[in-house]
Amino acid sequence: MSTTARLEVRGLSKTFAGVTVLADAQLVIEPGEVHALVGQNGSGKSTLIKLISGVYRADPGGEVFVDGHRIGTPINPGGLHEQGLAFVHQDLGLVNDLSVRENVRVGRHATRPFTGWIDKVRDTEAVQQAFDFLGVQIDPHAKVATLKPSERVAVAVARALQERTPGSGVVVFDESSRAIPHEALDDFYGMIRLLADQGTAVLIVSHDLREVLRIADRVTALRNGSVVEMGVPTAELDEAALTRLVLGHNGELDDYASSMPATVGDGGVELRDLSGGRIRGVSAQIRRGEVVGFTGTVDSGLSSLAPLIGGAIQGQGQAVVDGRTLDLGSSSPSAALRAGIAYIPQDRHGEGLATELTVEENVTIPHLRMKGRPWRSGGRWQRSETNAVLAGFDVRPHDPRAVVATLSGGNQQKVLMGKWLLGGPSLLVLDDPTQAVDVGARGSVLRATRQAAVDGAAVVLCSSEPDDLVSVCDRVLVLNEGEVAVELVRPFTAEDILAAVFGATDGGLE
Amino acid sequence: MSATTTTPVQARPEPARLRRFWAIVLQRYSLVLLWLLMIIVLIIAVPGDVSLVSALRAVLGQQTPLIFLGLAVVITMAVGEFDLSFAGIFGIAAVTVPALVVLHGWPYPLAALAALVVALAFGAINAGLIVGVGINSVVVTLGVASVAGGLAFLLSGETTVSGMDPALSGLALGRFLGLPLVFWYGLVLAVVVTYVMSATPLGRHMLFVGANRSVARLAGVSVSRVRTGAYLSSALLCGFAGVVISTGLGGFNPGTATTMLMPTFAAVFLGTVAVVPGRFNPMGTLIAAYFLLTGVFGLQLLRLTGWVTEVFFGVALVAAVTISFLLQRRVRG
Repeated sequence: MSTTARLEVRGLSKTFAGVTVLADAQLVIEPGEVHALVGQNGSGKSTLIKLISGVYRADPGGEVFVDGHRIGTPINPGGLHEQGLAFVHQDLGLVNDLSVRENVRVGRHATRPFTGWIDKVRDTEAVQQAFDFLGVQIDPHAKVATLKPSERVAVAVARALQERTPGSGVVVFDESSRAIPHEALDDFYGMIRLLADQGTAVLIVSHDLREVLRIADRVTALRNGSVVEMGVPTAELDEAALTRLVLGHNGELDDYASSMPATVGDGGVELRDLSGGRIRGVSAQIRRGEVVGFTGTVDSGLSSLAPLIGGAIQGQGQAVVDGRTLDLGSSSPSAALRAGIAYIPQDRHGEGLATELTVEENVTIPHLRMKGRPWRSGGRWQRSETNAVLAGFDVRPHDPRAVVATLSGGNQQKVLMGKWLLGGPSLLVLDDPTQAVDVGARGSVLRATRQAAVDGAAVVLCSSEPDDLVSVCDRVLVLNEGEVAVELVRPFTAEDILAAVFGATDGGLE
Repeated sequence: MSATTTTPVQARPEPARLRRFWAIVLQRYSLVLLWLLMIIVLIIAVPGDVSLVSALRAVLGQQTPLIFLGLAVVITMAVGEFDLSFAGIFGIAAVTVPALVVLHGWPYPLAALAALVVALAFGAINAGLIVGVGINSVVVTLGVASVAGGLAFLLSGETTVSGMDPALSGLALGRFLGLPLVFWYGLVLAVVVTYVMSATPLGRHMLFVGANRSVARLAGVSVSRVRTGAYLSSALLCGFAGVVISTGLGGFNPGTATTMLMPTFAAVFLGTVAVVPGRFNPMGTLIAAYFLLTGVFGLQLLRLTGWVTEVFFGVALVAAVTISFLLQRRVRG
């Protein structure tokens, strides 16, 4: 091993207020390889990325090298692009209202001499060059808002690559695939391969272990703030082995639908002719004690279904909950709530939890009106119910007064589930609840979903994860073009679901 | 043997609990401690005989709308709204009373009621444009502040209106336990607002509307209603402040209303470092207001007036926001 590593990290640590969240981290990435950084939420992998990108200041003593040149610590975030490091973040960091050219060139605009005005011609050329290299055709003058998802990815990558000699540097993708719909993932992976084949080193941070196995050459795993395995070739790993690496134990999803049988009770929910968003005329029966999954491609309307039932977006149709009819034409979140519908949104930070408030405040907010009096919310039930949620979901730390922002993503998701299950809803509606939670938390979220049915609720699980659906659902309805195209009844496998999803799409196109 | 081993075990929780107690006191009530310290320093520094009681009485007995306006601003800030019009609304309400009584011969109770209605009307304009139409709150309240301020001059004929029946001033200046009623009104209102904000579902709903509107909406909170209510109750408090202050003074000079802008913001933001650190809270505002009033009072005793006051409020505002920000950052890690 005489070659110089493209990126080398030695002894990077970070301590927040006396708590060490990352200790003595090491990382070596060779030119031309795709390297994956894996670990649960709270394992320290986002901290490591934030230290390398200079968002956080590392504790003294660590060192970061690019091509053998020491660039820190301390790291100067402004100089990273020149030093060969580029980052593509989770949300891709694009501004929809601006043009492709402006998005790519932000911060590195070419300017005319004397006037200092932006030189649009040179900027456009530079953008075009980056696109040529990536082999994509995008109009540099188009507004980003008008682009297809795969094109948005290309714009973000072009920003990271501009003014680079092909094959140089390091590009870091920090959970980027999360912002990319399934259909566009192949293009994205192709682009990563292209970069690596040219000699650029690629570091991907990902929760999705299958993605890691598919595109990465080597893997570095973090657990509890330390690197536990460094640079393991993926050729030596399968999904089970990689899961063990991340968790420290086997993390297979249990078959909760079998191990937690629920008695299907009388009553339940009837959805009648739902329309709204991309949904066009969906009807379904969900009995109490039953978990019904909905799935489909991104274009199928799946993403509109849960908000529609929950009253968060406007639409038409009716939801009959235990004989009481709720008109979705004039529904609202509070009307849905009164009808016994608990809707758990997908966007945990934007819509699920107020992260600067405490766990107790977040857990009890939907129930204040029912359990409290108008003139007094009452403290005792809040504390005891919150404690029950914390214990039931094994939230760590067990502290009702903890600020939600200080919890890890998986624990936040548990708090979010607990917040809605607390009221004992008639209908529980979940929108992709395992997005961006690690393997360990995923199990507890799915178990809680099944438990809600065992406790007598009707449950709707909208998900694009076949494994999740197999684990907890009694039936799965596959959407295509806003309508129910296929109904699967247990027993079914993840392959059955995928075949139905994509088979339905093909059928729809023919 | 057992005695020697158990004693230290039992003794250990005591200092730990005591330390936690002091940590909480320092975290939440350091402003109160600072305030007491400031009073003691004043008593020593100011030449002549000033007793603790007389100093406290002078500070707490001030005729100022600061507490009322501070509460009004806390309410709007808590739900995530920004209101620059509170001083203007206070001013026009304060002018309405003497203008109607002295210039137009209205009976006092009717004039006071009219002042409250005028204040509520401005609050309704704020709410209608900001919540109803969806216009930026800074722009709307800045405009409304200017309109209210201008109309106040129109009502007063561009001068100080005075000459109300001196007997009426007892409603504001009458003493109870050695302090004027103005102080007690402020205290009672602060207690009421504190209760509503900390112990009722409405208060928790306000907190969530301020923290994250989507989360609040999905939890079944009527976000528009809470925001509208905040603007209306804030305006009503400003109107009440106007009635009390002009009644106490027997008149009002509309030019003085805008001078309340800085001290009020300073008190509200300084209040976020006390009692419930990091959040807009009424008791914190009350403490901060008297902390600031004491500072100004002290400066006056030291014969420092005029420009010093403005500098003092400015420093207090920026320092408060800085401390509050640093506290928040420490909480989030």
